[in-house]
Amino acid sequence: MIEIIRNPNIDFIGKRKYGFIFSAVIIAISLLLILFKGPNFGIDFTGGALVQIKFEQPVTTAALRNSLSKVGKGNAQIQALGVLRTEHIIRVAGENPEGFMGALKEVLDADFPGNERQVLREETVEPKIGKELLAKTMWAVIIALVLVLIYVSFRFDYRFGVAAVIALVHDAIFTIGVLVVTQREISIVVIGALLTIIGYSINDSIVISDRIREKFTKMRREPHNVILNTGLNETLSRTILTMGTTLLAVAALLIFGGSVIADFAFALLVGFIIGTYSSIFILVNIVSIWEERFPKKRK
Amino acid sequence: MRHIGLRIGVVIIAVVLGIYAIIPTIRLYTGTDLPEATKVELSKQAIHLGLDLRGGMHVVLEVDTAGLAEKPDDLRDRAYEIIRNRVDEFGVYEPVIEKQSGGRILIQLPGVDRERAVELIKKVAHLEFRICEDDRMTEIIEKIDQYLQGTDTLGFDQPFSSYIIGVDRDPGFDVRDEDSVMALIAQSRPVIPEDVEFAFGAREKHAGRDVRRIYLLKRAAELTGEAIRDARHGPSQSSNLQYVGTWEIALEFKREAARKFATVTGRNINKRLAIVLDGVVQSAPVITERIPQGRASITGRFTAEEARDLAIILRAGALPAPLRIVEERTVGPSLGRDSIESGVRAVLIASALVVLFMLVYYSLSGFVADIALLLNLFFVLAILSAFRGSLTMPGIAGIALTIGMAVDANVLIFERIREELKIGKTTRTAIDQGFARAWVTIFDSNITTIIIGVILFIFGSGSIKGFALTLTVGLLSNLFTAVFVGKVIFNYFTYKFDVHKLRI
Repeated sequence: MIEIIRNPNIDFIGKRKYGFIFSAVIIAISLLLILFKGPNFGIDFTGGALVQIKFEQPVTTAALRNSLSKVGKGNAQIQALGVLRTEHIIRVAGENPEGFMGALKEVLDADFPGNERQVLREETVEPKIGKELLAKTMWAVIIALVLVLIYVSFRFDYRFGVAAVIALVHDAIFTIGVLVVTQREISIVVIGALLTIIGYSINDSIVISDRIREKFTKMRREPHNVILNTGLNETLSRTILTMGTTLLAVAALLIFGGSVIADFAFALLVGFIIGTYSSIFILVNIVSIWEERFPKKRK
Repeated sequence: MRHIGLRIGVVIIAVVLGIYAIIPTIRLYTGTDLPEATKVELSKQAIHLGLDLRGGMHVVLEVDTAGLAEKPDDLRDRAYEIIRNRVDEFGVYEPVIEKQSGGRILIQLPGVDRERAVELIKKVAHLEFRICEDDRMTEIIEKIDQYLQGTDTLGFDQPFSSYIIGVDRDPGFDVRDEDSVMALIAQSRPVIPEDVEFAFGAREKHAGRDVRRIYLLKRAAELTGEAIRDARHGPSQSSNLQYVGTWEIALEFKREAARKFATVTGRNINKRLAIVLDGVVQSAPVITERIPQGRASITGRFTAEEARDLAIILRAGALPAPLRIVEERTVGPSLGRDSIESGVRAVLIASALVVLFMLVYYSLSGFVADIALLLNLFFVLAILSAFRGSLTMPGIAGIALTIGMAVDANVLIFERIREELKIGKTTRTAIDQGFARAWVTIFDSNITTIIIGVILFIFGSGSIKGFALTLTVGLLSNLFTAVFVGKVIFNYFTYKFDVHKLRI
């Protein structure tokens, strides 16, 4: 029998100080980044145009930018795919995306004669549609969160519900922070990834809360913090195993899944790691502090 | 241990139903050279590939109500009918055309040439037959020159006539001067008589330059596109040399219109009749005689393809208002193929890694988890087939994710069984207790993710929907495979082989 950790007995509650400090630091940095650098919203939300072009011969980003500046879009984002530099994704934010496509075609014909090219993907979104989509997505996120909170509060002590929601907000902020640092695009699909991360984080929180709930009935006489610690330790190998298999799947997506879903897979990878961390270090520690400050009467 | 036979029966029935549901999908996507009719038949019972995987265009159009009194949704309804007719005749496989609120129409066309499809959908196709006033052209151009000389010409110091060049026997201009020409004409409105206006031909090459011809047309149209009963494309019948080898559209008028056409042509012999489509003069043949049969043709250097599309558009009729593309997502067929390949590869590798990991970590019991996992994958595809679900790239990602997350249930169960064994329970009791205790947790933890999946499916837009669908279906079917099927396998084997030491 292989075991990751044999009969773990780690004092998570005793070390909660470090967890809180670590989380406070990463959340502060993430918030600063989100506020001052700003997330790189994709054209789904800002409106604009995206073209993925495959050239026959390699084309440098600089040459492409030069062509784009001729049509007044020198500030476009250009992302080269693969090592051959034959495939590029060009993103332009803003108004009148339809006109841009025609202009781009003409300038590329002129600047890269004889270099055959193929348009692999072409998206245009008017800013108006982007705004509608953003509003719709926000509603979806809010409704999902409220329903989850209701469910968790109904099934568990409300303290676990609140702590679980704090943990998932923590995860979402950190993930967005990493997306800002790496300048990954936040598209509608990445929002889907954020929601999945939230689902996963809640999932972890529930498994741990479930075990602690069970321990409360079995270990009535033990101090509160000992019960919390026992619950965490008993579920620790499951927590690590599940993170492991999920990360295997997500890593496969990131490496082999192709350009279209790379940002999505990256967000999941970051989110699942932080989600596992938060359900161990944030969730239970919030409950423990809460109990110390405002002890509940035990039946 | 209760009802083991019954439970095995349930699993077998589920698998048989699954196989039945999945067969059309397998035949459709692996069968080579199936007859077209079989394909159509199979596709009605198979997984439907999203546009991002098969290639095609997704576009949302909005009616442009500028200057129109009608309500956007009424205009949309009329535009919708016309576009549907056009797309039907164009012959696209499985098109989706939907009305949306706010005067919008959603169109999804798999595997089409983008430029051609945009033209087909967006062309207003406002057709007019108008008489040319060639005799008055010179006089009006002179008037404009005189008029502009006397006014501030906004920095154009050249006379209007100096821009005009000869294109065959027509006046025309170089397209590089287009802005100047248009501005001067707009400025000269006071001297252009009210009953006529300038119109222009399409861009063409003449003596090595890009030019457009200039026409002077009567403002009132003699006939419009509504007069058309039928339109067919065919090789050009024109005797004019410039149309040799090109295609044309033969028009047939409705009876009432045919009579009017006869009168108009009879009254204007030796004048030219311009055929104007969406404000651009296509051709302007000279009327040599009265035409009583109610037939006409549009020549204009069309290729066979262009002529065919235009005939379709004219048959379906003009749009009530121009349409604007507010959202478009087009994926070329090669990226679609790449996406399928990389998606399937990612799913296979993810499965292989997880399967291997479970085997190594849980030994023989890991094998049970692996069966549950593969069965889950099979059921997801079977359910998608049965309900003709759409598989998109994010959908494939959802499947890959399901693989990683689905083993959570097995991990929860196995860790519980290990704990029960550690405190000295017998194999059978440990299995029963392990499943029973883990079930509560599995249920709670899956429900929350399923809640999120359902919300994403209801409120999410296209690409997210596919992800939400496979994730939700995957987690639901996982409850069955990991818990129910897993337990049946454990019960059956421990019973049959009288296992005392479980390898877990």
